[in-house]
Amino acid sequence: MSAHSQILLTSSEGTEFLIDRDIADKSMLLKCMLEDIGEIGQAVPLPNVSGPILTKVIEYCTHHRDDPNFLSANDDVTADIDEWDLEYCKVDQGTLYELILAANYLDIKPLMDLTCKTVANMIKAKSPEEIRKTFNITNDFTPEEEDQVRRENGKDWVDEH
Amino acid sequence: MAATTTTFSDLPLEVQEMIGSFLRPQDLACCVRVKKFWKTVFNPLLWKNLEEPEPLKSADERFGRRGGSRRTKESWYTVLMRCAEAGALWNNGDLVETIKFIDCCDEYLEDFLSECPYGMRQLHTAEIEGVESDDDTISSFIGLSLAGWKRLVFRSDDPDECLGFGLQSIEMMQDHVETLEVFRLETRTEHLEGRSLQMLLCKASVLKEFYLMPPSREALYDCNELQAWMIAKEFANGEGWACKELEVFGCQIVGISRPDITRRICRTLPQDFVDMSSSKESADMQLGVYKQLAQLKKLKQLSLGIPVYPYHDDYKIGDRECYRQYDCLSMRLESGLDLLKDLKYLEEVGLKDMEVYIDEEEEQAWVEKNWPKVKVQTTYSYMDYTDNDYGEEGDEDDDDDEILFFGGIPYSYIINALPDEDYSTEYDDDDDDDDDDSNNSD
Repeated sequence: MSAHSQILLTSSEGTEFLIDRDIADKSMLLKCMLEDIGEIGQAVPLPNVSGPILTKVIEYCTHHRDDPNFLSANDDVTADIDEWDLEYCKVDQGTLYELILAANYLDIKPLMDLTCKTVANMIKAKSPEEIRKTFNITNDFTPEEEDQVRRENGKDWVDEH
Repeated sequence: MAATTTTFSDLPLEVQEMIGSFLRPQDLACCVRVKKFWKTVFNPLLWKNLEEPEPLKSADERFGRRGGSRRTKESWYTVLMRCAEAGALWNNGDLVETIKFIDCCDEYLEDFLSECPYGMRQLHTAEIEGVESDDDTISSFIGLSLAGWKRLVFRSDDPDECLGFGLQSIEMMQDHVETLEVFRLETRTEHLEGRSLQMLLCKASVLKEFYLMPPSREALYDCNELQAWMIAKEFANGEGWACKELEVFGCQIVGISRPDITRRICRTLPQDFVDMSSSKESADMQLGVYKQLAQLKKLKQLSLGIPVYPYHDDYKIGDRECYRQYDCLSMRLESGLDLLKDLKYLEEVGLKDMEVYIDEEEEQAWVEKNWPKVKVQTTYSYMDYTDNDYGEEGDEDDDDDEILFFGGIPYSYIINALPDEDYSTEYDDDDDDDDDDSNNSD
């Protein structure tokens, strides 16, 4: 098969995306599928991924197209995120979660790591109340429960405000 | 891009857990307080590994805004104990899989156990450094693992420290033979010997590492008994070991009477307590030891040694070799060294205070042939008290086997299978004040 062959993808709304095979191969789901059944010349439907999100995913895979460490780069849990990736993740929370879901579905581990790390960074060094604010969450603990959980989990890990 | 309404709670559980895997304990501790569902997601992550977290990195500060000013103010061990006192270990003990206490204080294990439930269902790994708990405490700690220990490591870099790992503890280990993969006591212990160690090796079929050696330092005051060792007789005559997958074996082996070494080295009558068996008995016992070791086909690292106590009050220059007369396994072909030739995976051999003949022509040729890549390291922990300069040793006692390292200063060096340098300058032949020097032609 030609290295420059192209693959047609269809987003949930039915929008078609023509991408190079090596871009598609960044997704383990597509890679395995294409290896198993070959290129059938028909569009591959991706009913779980919307057009805007698919555009964003393709942007990521295209940027990291020639990255030799694509699959191992993010093994280090504590590694810093590079500038391009950082910019890439500056999206609203809803988009970020949809990116996570798409990366999970398409099985693109580096994108999965990047987006999960970004969410983790939104949690880090915040008090529970600040976390609730960030994620728009309502506290459903009773005061007694909250007190017990608080004492069991090291209430002074971080300074309270 | 159109705004979407997807929220955090729409993410599948495994994705939420993955996000949690990027969080440090102090962050997870906040997460469990956010809401009930968050507690069910993040609590298992928070309690899975009891281990002091890494300090903040620059990236965290960048994201965490006030990260710098909100660092952990007190030690993680203190926080853990306060949680434990609030009942955290009773409520979350079954979530704990690994415990790693590296930098805690002496009695930390006691305090920890006093707040622990009687067992933890998933606990299988522990690495404890620098505690001096007694046998009772250690054995209760061993009892904590209901899943069965896979990996149990006690370590101390301080030669003055002594872990109370004793007979009770080693007895407790017998309940974990089915799961035990790594068992290391890299510390001085209670006097630990014989049957129970042998039994462990006979039953622990998935054991990969068995390493019971005190830190290799210059030896210690008043610690005669406080070490672990195996008795050659039980070792050699006991049933075969179950642990055919063993990759690391390190243990001191005692109790081989050595009439040959007594004659050669001390040139005097043996110490009173030395049981003078015949040379044949001695050779048979050594062969038995080698036979057990030769079963360990997967072995990568072999460490052997004998306990010596050079600083002990009773230890006089003339006594220096008494332990070696009695205890020492000889690394000679005639003792059975050749049985180890099939250990094809061997990478490292460490010999502490042993009588080593690997420098002998025959043994050296054997090592070159059979262990071409093996790094052989010999170390000696006894001191030379005298300031004699012993001059050239090559001039005398040609008929004798080399009397290696007799009275040598503490040093270690590495023989890389093909030692080209002449080590003889280091082999001070100590003629010291033995009563009987008559063997030396002079």
